[in-house]
Amino acid sequence: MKKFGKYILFLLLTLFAIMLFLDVGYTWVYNHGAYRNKAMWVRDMQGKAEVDYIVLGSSRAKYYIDPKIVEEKTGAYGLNLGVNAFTSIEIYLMLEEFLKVRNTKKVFVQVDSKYIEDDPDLVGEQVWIPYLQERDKYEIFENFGSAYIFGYYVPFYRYQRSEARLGYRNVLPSLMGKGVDYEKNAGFKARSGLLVEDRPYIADQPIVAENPYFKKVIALCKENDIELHFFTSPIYGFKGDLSPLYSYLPNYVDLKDSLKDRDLFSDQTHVNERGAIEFSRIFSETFFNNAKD
Amino acid sequence: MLFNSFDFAIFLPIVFILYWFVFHKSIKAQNLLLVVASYVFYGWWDWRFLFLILFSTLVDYTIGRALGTAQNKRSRKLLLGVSILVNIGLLGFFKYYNFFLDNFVEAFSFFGTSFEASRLDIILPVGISFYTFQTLSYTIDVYRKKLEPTKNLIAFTAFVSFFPQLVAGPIERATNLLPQFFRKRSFNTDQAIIGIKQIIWGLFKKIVIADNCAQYVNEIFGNYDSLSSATLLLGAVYFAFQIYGDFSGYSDIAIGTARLFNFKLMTNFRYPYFSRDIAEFWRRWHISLSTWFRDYIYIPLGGSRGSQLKQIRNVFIIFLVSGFWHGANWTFIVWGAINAFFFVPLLLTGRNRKHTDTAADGRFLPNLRESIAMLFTFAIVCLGWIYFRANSVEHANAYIIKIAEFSTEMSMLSIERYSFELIPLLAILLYYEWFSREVEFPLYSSKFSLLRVAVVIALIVVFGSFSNIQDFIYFQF
Repeated sequence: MKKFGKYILFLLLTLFAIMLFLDVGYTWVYNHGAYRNKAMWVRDMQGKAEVDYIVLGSSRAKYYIDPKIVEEKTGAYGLNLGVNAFTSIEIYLMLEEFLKVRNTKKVFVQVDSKYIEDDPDLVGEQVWIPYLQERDKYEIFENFGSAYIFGYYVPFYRYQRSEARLGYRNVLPSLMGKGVDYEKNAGFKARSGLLVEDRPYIADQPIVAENPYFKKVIALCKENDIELHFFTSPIYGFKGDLSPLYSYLPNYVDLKDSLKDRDLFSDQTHVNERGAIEFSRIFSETFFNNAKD
Repeated sequence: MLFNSFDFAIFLPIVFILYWFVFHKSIKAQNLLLVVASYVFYGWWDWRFLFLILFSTLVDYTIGRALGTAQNKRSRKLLLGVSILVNIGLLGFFKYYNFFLDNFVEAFSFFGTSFEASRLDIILPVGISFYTFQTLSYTIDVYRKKLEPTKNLIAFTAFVSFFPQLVAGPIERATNLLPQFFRKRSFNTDQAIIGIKQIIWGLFKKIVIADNCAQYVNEIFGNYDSLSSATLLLGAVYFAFQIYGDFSGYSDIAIGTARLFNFKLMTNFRYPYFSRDIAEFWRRWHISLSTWFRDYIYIPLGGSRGSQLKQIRNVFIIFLVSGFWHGANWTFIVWGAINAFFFVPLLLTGRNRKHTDTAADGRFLPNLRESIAMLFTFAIVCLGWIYFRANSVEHANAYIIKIAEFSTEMSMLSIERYSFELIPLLAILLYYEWFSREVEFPLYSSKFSLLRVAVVIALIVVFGSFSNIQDFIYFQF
């Protein structure tokens, strides 16, 4: 039994050593490798010049606002920091991370019926998981269950749990320098396709309370003397009540009905490339006084 | 409880410690612990399943005892008949009722008579096909006087419900497993270390090979109509490795776990994809089921004796029954028929036992002839797997036709993506298996043992599909 015990100990130590080594290696890649997501990009912005604005939000920010078009129309230089499936927590973390390394005059935050969600999104959170062991990230995520606590204390566990998005499929290309050139389009990405079905999009849950993480966003902007705007991007056939957002959010503008043409959408909740051009124009005219026609 | 779950990682050490440190002085106590542990393990899915396994256990225990005292041939036959009726009846009710009902309804509507029949809304109890066959083997062996009926209910209950192999085999014979519950079991370090290595190897096959393949297989089979022939071909190959990794991985974990308690279960897989013909494949694939059918159905039917027509009949019966055992769907029956179709010529020409040795015996690599034979056998096996995996016979037919069209359209998935992600992993599996084909499993050998184990652990940690944990395929059977 003693020999068996030693063997088990050897295996456990081997497992621990492998996980520790991989944890250090993967985290190094997520700190120094080619950008595979926007968190990596933002964290590497230290020392770069102040921007006129940033756009935060989910895919309804990422695919909607092309900063190059906004710059053409207004002269304002900005970045689109929207990430698929981001909810309030991830948006707050993105703002916090950005402000650690760079300044901005204005912040635009895209919100919609998902405003109410105040826990991490399993997809959206992925970009922050490599940095879970950083105190400020952990202090937020630890409130949401044992998976994050294990992720903090057990080396490599957080990468295993998210292996489909953060595993070797991402780490190897990043290590080989195969990243995404976010600078090229200032974070914007165009979507292709055309919406086929013509049916209403029903909001899944009513907005009945204030979201604590958006309150933090507001506080953070105030603390840094940054002009803050909230807006809702177009959703085709949206049926739901967003009116509570006027009372919860400063400078809130509802643009959900600003695009009506079905040809401008790739699906109900996202515009296509043509829709993005059109919405970027509307965005410029709504939020920048000097927008050219 | 899944082998590849956190629950099992807690459960196993607890049972192990209790077994060797608390109950080690008495066989009875150890058996009782195994019964309790097995019922906890099985009840983890659904506690209601426990009544079924308990019922099956009590029926066969009682019939076994009665067979021990009955001298009259007729009453012995009657007792055996009751056991078969109860076990196959349970299986038929839970697994095949809706299948027969649907087919009767369809057959009647074909002849112009339509009627409504209400399907049963029941869950198939996990592992029912496995433990019913295991208990049946006991009754049949007692009936044949190959085994003395046991009076020890605890040992018999432990034999039926032994948790390592309860839900997906290997389907043990009473003659092999039951006597092990009566002998004194002392801790055997070498066996336990081999057991741990086998568990690790099983986890590699399940988490790295099967679960990674599963993601692509699901996508490819689900979207076959918009994919190229090459992608569909790759889908079939990936499924071949998925089901192999999944099922043989389970068997390895089961056998390895049993070793920790000093039980020796039968080998269930012996590198089947290195087979040089379909007959050899069936001597290497799901051995516990193949030999069960051989001993309890094929040989009583006459086996390979008698006229050629009888031999062909026996082969088809055995493969069709085997297909039907897997599930209540025509796809499994077609799968069985395909295997029978390729097996019969070997039997009739007396070449079905041509390859009883290991491929490339004593050589580093196979020669050209062996390589072609292995590839051809693998192709036949993959053809069968398409039916096995498809949702319906029509689905499988359409899938095969699409492959044969040699279409190059790739509207959704790119073949490069698949090549990049999975082919190196499959190459690692084949490398390990090829160079270990003389031993029970690749980590068995003591040569560079620690290093090899450490490498496999690293492979599991890095490449394991932890965010896409899949149930074992054979749980549904």
